[in-house]
Amino acid sequence: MLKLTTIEVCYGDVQALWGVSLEVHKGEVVALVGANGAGKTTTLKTISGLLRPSSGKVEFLGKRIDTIPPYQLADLGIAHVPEGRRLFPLMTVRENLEMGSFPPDAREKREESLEWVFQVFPILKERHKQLAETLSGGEQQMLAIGRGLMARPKLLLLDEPSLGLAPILVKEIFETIKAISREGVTLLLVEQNVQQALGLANRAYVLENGRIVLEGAGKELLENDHVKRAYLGL
Amino acid sequence: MEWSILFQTLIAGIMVGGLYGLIGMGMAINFGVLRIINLAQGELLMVGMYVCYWLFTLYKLDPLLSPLITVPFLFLLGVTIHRFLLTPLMRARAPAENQILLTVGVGLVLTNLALLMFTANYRSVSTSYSTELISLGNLSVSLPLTLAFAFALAISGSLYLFLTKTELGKAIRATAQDPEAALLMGVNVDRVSVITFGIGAALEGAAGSLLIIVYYLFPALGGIFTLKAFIVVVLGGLGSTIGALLGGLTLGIAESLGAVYVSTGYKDAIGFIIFVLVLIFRPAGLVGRARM
Ligand SMILES: Nc1ncnc2c1ncn2[C@@H]1O[C@H](COP(=O)(O)OP(=O)(O)OP(=O)(O)O)[C@@H](O)[C@H]1O
Ligand SMILES: [Mg+2]
Repeated sequence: MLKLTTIEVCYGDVQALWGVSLEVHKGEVVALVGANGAGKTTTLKTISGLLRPSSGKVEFLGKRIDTIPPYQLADLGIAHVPEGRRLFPLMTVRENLEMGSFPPDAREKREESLEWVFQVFPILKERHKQLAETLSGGEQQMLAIGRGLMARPKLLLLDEPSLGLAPILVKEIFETIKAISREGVTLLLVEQNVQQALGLANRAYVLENGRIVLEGAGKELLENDHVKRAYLGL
Repeated sequence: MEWSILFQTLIAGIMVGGLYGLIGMGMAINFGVLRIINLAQGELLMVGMYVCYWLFTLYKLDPLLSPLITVPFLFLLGVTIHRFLLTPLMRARAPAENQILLTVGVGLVLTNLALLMFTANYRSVSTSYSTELISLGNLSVSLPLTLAFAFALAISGSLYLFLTKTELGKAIRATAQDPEAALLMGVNVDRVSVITFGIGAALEGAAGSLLIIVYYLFPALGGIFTLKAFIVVVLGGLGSTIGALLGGLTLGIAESLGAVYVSTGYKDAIGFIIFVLVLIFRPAGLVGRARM
């Protein structure tokens, strides 16, 4: 479904990704893990067109997407729930969700999608008239994911959905991610919560200093010595 | 103290303030999305007024109907300025100061074109209702000013509905609040930027059609109103259209009270004093962060 081939990305003179190749197949949950500054966010931004690779290519459903304007990607079926949530703070919960279904195809299914999202996150229904900036951190994260779901994505990119949440909420978010996956949405998940992410993922990639250093089945990587030492503190 | 004079002064201030609010809204919506102050906003207003003036003089078109022409005309002018002057600067990632300077240049060109084409003469339109008064007891208010105020409120209300109820309006607000997130939602933010600049100009077209029935027209009027729009927008909390309306009312009332109770000569100075006081005590503007 998604295929990155030897992607290189630079911020000015600083190169952040070095020959990154990865694949996500339809129906999978793929985790991308790595330390701070490894290049996880950079990878996701390159997929959703916010950054352009200086070499290599990005393909989605067999079509090259690193050359088309980024605003067209949402309509192709890629939704990106960015790091730090990036809600529209002065819009209501409902308006934020409506913005999620801005792409033409998603707009037609708006009411149906709203019901789906309210079913996944009942709290959002209760809060639908509230401004996004007045939500708690956990609620904001739910809204960010809900907004992504409103696009009816084929592929959902999640950048650290559990960041800054209390342990009980982290568990809840991971449960939700599982549920979303069961609904048939393909997921590429960036997480620092390596234990949980690898436990959930079908496959995973480990990114270090802008390079993929390991890849394999999620459970398999949990047993890997390097992963245990570097990421699980074992 | 004569109460009826105070009331009359307040009413006149509120009405003029509604117009100032509309003039400021164009600048506010531009700032919200483009993050630059368009310092040609008053000059665009001046262009709108000339269009209106000639439509009236040559074709007897009532200024209150002229928004049907001034609005699309100024929209296209705004889009053209953005497309051919601002876009290249933005593409080259020129610093915001350069973009603002560019708008100053646009203003100068417009003023001098008007001077060349229409001379520096003061002009005004006299409609059938130009000198009529509405009296309520011992209060009397100018009819054209009342009409201009009512239209200004109606246009502000339409802008509000546009921004809150339409897909494009919501995309504009989303872009103002977080352009990168808007892009992820599939909003073509470059196009939104152009359209917003057009809307900002179109609002000056509408305001010009109203201002001309209560004010006179000359080429250098643009600079005066750019300054007023700037005060209004800062008073309202940069980038907020609702705030601009409140800022406009504040400036209108302050000027009007100042003209009657201090001296007409100090009218503009009083606007500035309010401006400075608000900056000192409420640096985020009167309303702070607002939904639109
Ligand atoms: N806007 C930028 N300008 C310059 N360098 C940047 C920029 N954004 C990221 N970088 C650099 O690129 C590298 C990768 O950053 P990235 O944000 O992708 O890391 P990350 O894996 O998402 O980290 P974290 O877990 O902290 O979110 C880092 O060295 C970072 O300093
Ligand atoms: Mg990151």
